[in-house]
Amino acid sequence: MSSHNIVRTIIFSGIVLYLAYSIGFFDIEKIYSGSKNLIVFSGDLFPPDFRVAGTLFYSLFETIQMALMGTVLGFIAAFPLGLLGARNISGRSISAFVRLVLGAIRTIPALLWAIIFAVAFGLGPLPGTLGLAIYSVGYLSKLYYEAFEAVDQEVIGAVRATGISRLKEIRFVIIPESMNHILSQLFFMFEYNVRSSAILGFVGAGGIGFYMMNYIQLFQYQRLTTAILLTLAVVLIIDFISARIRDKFLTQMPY
Amino acid sequence: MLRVTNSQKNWDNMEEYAVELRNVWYSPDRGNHTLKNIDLKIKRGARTALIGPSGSGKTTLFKIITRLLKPCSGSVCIKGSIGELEKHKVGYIPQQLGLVRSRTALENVLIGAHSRIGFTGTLLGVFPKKEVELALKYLNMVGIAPKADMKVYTLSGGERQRVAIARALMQEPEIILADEFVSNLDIVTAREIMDMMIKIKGKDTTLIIATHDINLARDYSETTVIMKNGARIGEISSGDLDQDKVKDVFT
Repeated sequence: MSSHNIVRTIIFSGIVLYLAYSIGFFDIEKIYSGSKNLIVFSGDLFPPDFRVAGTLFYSLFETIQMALMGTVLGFIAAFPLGLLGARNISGRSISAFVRLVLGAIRTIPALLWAIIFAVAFGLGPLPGTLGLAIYSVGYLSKLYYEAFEAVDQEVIGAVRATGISRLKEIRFVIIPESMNHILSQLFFMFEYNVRSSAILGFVGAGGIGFYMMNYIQLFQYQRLTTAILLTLAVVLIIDFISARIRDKFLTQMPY
Repeated sequence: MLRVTNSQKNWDNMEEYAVELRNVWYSPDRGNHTLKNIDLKIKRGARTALIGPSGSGKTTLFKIITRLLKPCSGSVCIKGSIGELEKHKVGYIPQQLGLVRSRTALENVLIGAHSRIGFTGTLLGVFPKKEVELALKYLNMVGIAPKADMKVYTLSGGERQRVAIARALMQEPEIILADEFVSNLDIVTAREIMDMMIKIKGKDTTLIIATHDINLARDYSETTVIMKNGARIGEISSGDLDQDKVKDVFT
């Protein structure tokens, strides 16, 4: 028994060490110079240059706007798709097809969607918003069909036995029973989109990322620090507010 | 293999029986049968108890009678006062009650009315005044009218049981099926609710309760059907029930 465990531990450590080696963790020269560069770079980041704060505020606003619109558009599409993807509501064949499509959408990250839309619609916040929206559809729909499927089968059975129509069943049973999930996942998606919209500017899709990219390319690291700090502040504020709203909306339901 | 027949010509005593099952087999996965060759006749207006240990097929049998499940073979005939009974005329109270917990008692009772009312108004949550009054009448009948506007998750076990009864009554059922009815409640509350149930059910309403409590079956039903391992192994007059007679069923 214990010799078995020892063999297992040795094999596992061997794999980890090999992976670390092949990535380059044992290249002492490289690690040393890299660490030195990191310290120099960190020094360059400070002190932050707050003269650009005004310009950055505007683009931060754009970032939040993109995240909000992306989430709302995503929600509008994700809600019906979630219903269609739930096996207990739409049946096996429809849900399998919907899940396949949603899986395909999720495979492509938001950044890539933004690039695709930027090629099609040109630079600016529009491609960024669309990118976030379509990514949200892929993710939120999955979270929703899982929430809908988690509704107690006995409640559904009891209600179906009353001869209720399928649409009414959704309205009076499925939605109320999964309301907590619907809301909390919507807030989660919004928070997620605020974070990921900051980076969309890297590909010219609007928002604060555009400035971050520029500052990096022009070696204006002190301005970059300002952009990062402002983004951090906004993300924290939004997290705080959305946690408050969530607590207020969600009913605490002990059984 | 047995053939599924659904012709109603051959049914005897059309008026007398509310539920008639012949050679019903059911299997959820084409493997093990959870119901084996069930024959069952239940008279209109009768009070019947189904007893048997867990896993004996009581719940599956109920789902066949509500037509939530279709038998693999055999025939099912659920009859109303005129012809075959519509689904919504069978009130079904599952073991865990199946209430929408985040909604009020009144809203849950109104679910029982959906087969009677159209779609447009109700989509916004507006119900015909007549139906709301009826729902309040039933809530009053089961004794929890003052709690009509309370969310179900704030109610006690006994109160929830009453809401579930009111919802079933709201369907104006000819048959009421109650699965492991009142078995989660203390004995005093359970008997109180059973007494009330017997009192308010209409004379022609057929009541079938599944239970593993022999005393409850003896005191509140006329006939007891005994089940084990998916088969019906006997039927006796409930008055004759005692521990000795069903000892081997539960062991």
